[in-house]
Amino acid sequence: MTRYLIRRVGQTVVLLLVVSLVVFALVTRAPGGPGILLDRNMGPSEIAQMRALLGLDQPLHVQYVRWLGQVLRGNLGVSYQAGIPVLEIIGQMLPNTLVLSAAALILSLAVAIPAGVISAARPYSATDHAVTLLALFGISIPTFWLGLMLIVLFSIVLGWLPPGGMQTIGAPSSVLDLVRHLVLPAVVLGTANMALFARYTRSSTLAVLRQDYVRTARAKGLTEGAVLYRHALRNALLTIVTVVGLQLPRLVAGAAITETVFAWPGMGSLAVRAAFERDYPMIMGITLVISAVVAASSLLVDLLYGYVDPRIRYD
Amino acid sequence: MRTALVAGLVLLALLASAWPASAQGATFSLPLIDNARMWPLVGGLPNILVNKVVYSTLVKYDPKDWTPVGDLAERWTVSEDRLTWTFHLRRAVTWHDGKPLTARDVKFTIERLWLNPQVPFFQRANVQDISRVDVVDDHTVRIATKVPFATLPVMLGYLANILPEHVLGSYTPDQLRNPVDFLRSPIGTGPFRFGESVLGSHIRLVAYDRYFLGRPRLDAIVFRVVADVEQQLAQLQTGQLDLMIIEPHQVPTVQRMPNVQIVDAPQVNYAFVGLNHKAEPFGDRKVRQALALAVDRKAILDRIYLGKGRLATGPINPLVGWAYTDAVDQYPYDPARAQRLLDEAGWTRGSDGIRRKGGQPLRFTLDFDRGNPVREQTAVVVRQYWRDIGVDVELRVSEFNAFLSRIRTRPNPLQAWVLWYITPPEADLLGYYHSQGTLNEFGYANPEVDQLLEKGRATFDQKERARIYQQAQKLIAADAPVLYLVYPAEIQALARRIQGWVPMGYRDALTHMVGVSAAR
Repeated sequence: MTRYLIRRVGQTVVLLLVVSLVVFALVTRAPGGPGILLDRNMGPSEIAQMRALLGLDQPLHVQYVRWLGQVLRGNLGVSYQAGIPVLEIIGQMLPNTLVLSAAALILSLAVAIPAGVISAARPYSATDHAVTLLALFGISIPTFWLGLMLIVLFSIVLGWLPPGGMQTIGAPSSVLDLVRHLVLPAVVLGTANMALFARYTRSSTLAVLRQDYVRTARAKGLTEGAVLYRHALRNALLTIVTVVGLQLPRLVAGAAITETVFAWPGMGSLAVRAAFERDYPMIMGITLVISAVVAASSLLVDLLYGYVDPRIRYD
Repeated sequence: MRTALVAGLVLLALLASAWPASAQGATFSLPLIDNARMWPLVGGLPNILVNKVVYSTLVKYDPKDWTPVGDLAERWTVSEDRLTWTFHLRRAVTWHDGKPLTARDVKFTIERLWLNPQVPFFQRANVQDISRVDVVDDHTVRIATKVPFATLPVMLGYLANILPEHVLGSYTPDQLRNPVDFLRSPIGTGPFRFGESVLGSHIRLVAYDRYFLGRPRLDAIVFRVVADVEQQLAQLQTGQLDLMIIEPHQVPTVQRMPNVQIVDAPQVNYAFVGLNHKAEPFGDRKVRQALALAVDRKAILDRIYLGKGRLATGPINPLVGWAYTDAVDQYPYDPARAQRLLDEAGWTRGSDGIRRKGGQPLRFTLDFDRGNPVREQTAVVVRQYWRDIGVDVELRVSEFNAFLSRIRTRPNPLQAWVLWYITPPEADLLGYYHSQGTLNEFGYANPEVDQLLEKGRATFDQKERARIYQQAQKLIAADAPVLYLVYPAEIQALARRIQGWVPMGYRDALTHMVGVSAAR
């Protein structure tokens, strides 16, 4: 177990190095430089000076080694755009993204599991077809379009919910206020997953319903509801847990499109802006943090499997 | 399932109890596309906009005629030899921490920040003719220039915020490059002081009670970080935003909003198609004139800009009224004359309709950036006009940063490109049109124009200057160095509840916020 952990952590460190190297090579070679160097009134000498001050006049490998040296000392550098340490910015943005992603996940499971079970209980019935059709829509609808439609309906036409942002500015912050701002983006972000989870729930529940012990349960005279929820669903959930586990990294990486559409201050919209502005330290920092979280969560999932399923051995 | 549906609806109904559009007191909200640093030494529009209300400049521009009027300076005089300016500062100006502003702050800002080679300052080119600054007394400061520099007052109003010596004076150059501590709670002399900054969400500034022109009528200004234009429009309609800058095609959408009015604000700018004189065939004046005559700029103004602007005659905007003249070659749409000029220049049409000279086809690429509908449409239309006279034009679209960095490369690798300039409200075009100008991306060189621009900068009599610049405009227009299209208005969508908004482009309107108020 310990040996396994050490090996996995070692692999993770190598992976992070490779990822950061690839991303660094990509962003620094992308046409156009940092926006901070492109002001229309800046003459060549001001630009050259600014480049030198940011260390951009150095050869690329020197720049990378410098960045790496900083990272090893726990410093991700300062954002070109905001003038604030990258680590601090990520520290402020990551919780916002987690709130949004968690809300979307809970929402999608709350809808998907009942829908999937209902589908499985009466396969090929009208209800099942309706759920399937809805799921197909959910998977296919472009995020930005769905977001805009919901904004038009709930913010502009009905005036029920704010169109974007995370809080009412200047008002005392409250949970209710946060929830109001959270509803629309969470629905949009949860929609695709909702559809996905509903399909998985349906198929895994169907598979379980064909098992012998379900027949036994029915033979004992249990109600159909008890059979479904107490026996079938509990075992079907194992599959769903796996699928949700696979979605975990996306919780952290955020949802660039949803966050942008709703002006949600999270990692996704931050990454999009950083890419536009070629804010190298910001892009590198976001990449590093997200890769680390992805690696950590996949390790966690693997370890959990061993805990849940005694057949799995770590050697 | 039904239970869940009912529960969901109940929850929605609970949430839907009217959410407050803004907090107590009158607040004015406008969008930023990104976080703002609030550090005047670097650029970026979000940063520039916030700095307009947090900090002050020595001068700002009069909304009536865009001439420099006092901001921190009350008045100024220039010495007999025109090398020393004396600025008399307002009394009773205080920084947001209560400390008085003195001449030492001006000296510190100019010498230790603007002119300090160890600290980046993105507008250094505008002020590099300053040689030193002397403090006469607390409220008087002398600025010496290396050469006579008539443009100084205007440049001191252009992105030239004064910063506090008592806070920054002890900073090392390294700290001044990244003044993280200062930026957590910046201190200026503007009408609004820093309130809070929530990254990715907003910056809230509150009225400064001791602002030197009196407390602003608004309680707060909120800059909301909203990168997406559709989201901006939604927030404008729901009252979370009070202002946004829109493109012509969005005018009908905004006209349908009962709570919003449209203001066509003047801004010192021009939109153009740039030509690279160092690349064939643009070194030939006849070709450039032909390219100008071939384009129906009136149609572009009417159809692409929806008439919001004026036809451009040259690089000086009519808002700079004392210097502007339209008594120059105007290149009205005349494709026949354009064809004749190209024939004269030796570019003759072959059987395929493409013009050739010595076997070489008249072919080049027109660059533009992705995402701005006005420039995209302009590029497509201009290409068609040019094809009509036998010029084989290819379009190339690139992402904005990539496009700009190409233009800034020397030698300029582009042949023709669609762009715009926002300039200080001055006739002084030295940086852009002088053969040695640092911003001369066209490679334009005319010794006569060079002389006039140098003379204009060193001449202090306004009438004499006007004559010089009118002559320069005539010469430039005759050369057709670039294709001058339009002086576009900035189309502002402004909430009707806002009173006292100054009708200028918002970069400058934000320097006149003290009298702006908002009905609840």
